[in-house]
Amino acid sequence: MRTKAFYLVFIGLIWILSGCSEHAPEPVTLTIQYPSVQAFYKRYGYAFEDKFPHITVQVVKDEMKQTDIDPGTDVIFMYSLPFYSKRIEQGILKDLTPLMKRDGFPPDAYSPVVLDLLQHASPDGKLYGMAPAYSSEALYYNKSLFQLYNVPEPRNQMTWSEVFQLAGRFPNLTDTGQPLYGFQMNFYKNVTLNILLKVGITEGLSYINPKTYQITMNTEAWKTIWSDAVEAFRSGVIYTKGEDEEGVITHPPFYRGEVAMTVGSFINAYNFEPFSRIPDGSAIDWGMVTVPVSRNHPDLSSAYSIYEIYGVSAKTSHPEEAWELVKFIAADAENNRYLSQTEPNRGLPALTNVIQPVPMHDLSPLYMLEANTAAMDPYLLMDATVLDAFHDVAQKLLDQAIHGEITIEEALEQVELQGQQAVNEALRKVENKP
Amino acid sequence: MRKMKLSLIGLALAAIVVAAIPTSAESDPYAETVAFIDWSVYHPNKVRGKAYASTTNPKMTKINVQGSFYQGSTLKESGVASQTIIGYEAAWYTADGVYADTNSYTLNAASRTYYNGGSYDQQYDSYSWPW
Repeated sequence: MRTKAFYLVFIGLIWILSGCSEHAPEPVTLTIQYPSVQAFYKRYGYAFEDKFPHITVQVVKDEMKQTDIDPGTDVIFMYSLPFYSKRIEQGILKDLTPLMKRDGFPPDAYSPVVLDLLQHASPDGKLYGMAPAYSSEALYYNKSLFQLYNVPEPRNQMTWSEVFQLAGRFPNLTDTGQPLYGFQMNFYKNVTLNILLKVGITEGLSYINPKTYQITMNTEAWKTIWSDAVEAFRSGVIYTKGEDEEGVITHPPFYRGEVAMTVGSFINAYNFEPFSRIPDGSAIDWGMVTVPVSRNHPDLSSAYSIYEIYGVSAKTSHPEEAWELVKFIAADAENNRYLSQTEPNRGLPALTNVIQPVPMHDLSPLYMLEANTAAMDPYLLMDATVLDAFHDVAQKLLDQAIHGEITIEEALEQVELQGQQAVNEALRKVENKP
Repeated sequence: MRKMKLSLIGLALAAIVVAAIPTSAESDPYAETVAFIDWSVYHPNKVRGKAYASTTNPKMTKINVQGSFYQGSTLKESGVASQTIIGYEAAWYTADGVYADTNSYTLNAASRTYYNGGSYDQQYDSYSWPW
């Protein structure tokens, strides 16, 4: 009898153990590179390991300086759309389309803006990566100033020309003699040139070929932009002062109530409230509409960007677990809701139903336009010193045009000539760098 | 904005790190600006403030953080710290051993990140003692 009982217990134990080994997933360690080990765990790593206890995430710190080399991790982090395109061309990412189809991913609430941007950045239109958040811009305006000067408030989908005209309806001085501006942007150097280039991006124009470094600006399309902008700059309604990178941080002129409108990132929407709580800050009665659009494509925004994209390595030996991590980062509802509440500056969540609201404000101008997928910033992968060399030359010529020392035609001719020389010189220096 | 509450040990470690090398090691992929106040490690019943900011945006050229420390509505101290290395903190601390933990304080932090090409981003955070 005792022997029989012993056998029963023994068989039971064997059964339990074999059952466990059949169903408990094998422990897996996934690797990923990221700019900050601590930040990755805080945002995704700990929450993911809680949900998938058999998977351990190992983060490798990567400052993204070696973009030509395969990081060799199971999950690959990319900091921009051009970088994502480059990684696809390098052939190091797994096509996620079959896995997405199988798993019914992404969920319905996933932003069409993000999907569009990812799809169009991919040379073959397939998806090789997913993103948890994106960045967008809006035209913010000071309602009190519009009321005070009896100027009609801006509306969605204005062109740059319309924005400059609206800015021109404000006087240059307040009733108390303080300077007043109709428009300002967050540039600290080469301010007028940067505003002009921003208009160019909206109109789908670039000034340099990222592959050949050929400068092209002496065109009819650029001439129209230069003419409109130069007229606006001359009128003094646009804030054009640069700022030093050193010393005390001043509040941007829009925050100081000296400017009626500004184009800025979504971060502003979350910034106004903390600004109102600091002793030298103030509550701004603000509104927002969409960024200025191109006359030819009023439904498109060129102001979307993605700074966090995750793909699965084509070489990983854990494709299922790596895909699980990518899915979790991009679209886990609970974690993304938590992050959008605690870190709204991380970006607008790709899961549209977890966006952190701002009381009394409609944030839809930040995401209502479709993405202008042709306007992906090609300059992100170019050497900044080369671009700066062009900017410095072009800014001098633009200043001369604003002051009436040269015509716009002469300026554009010289921009191509002198700008190309400056770019070539800067390229030589970059290539000769040890 | 996620607040980091430093324990006594944490603040001690932070102080040691600051003394040894000018920055701490980790940061967020985007600009993060934090103000906080906690008990001093070396001085019982005293508090100390720290304002810091960091970013790992690859276009960043410099990040500045400015702290302004108030007792009630009186500005007691302010200062600016800078960082040019991606992923490292710019941090500003108040004086140590000066501020009694029985009073009320506010530390305001403003950060400005400068990017290649000439644009910048600005962020704010504020922290009040006692919390």
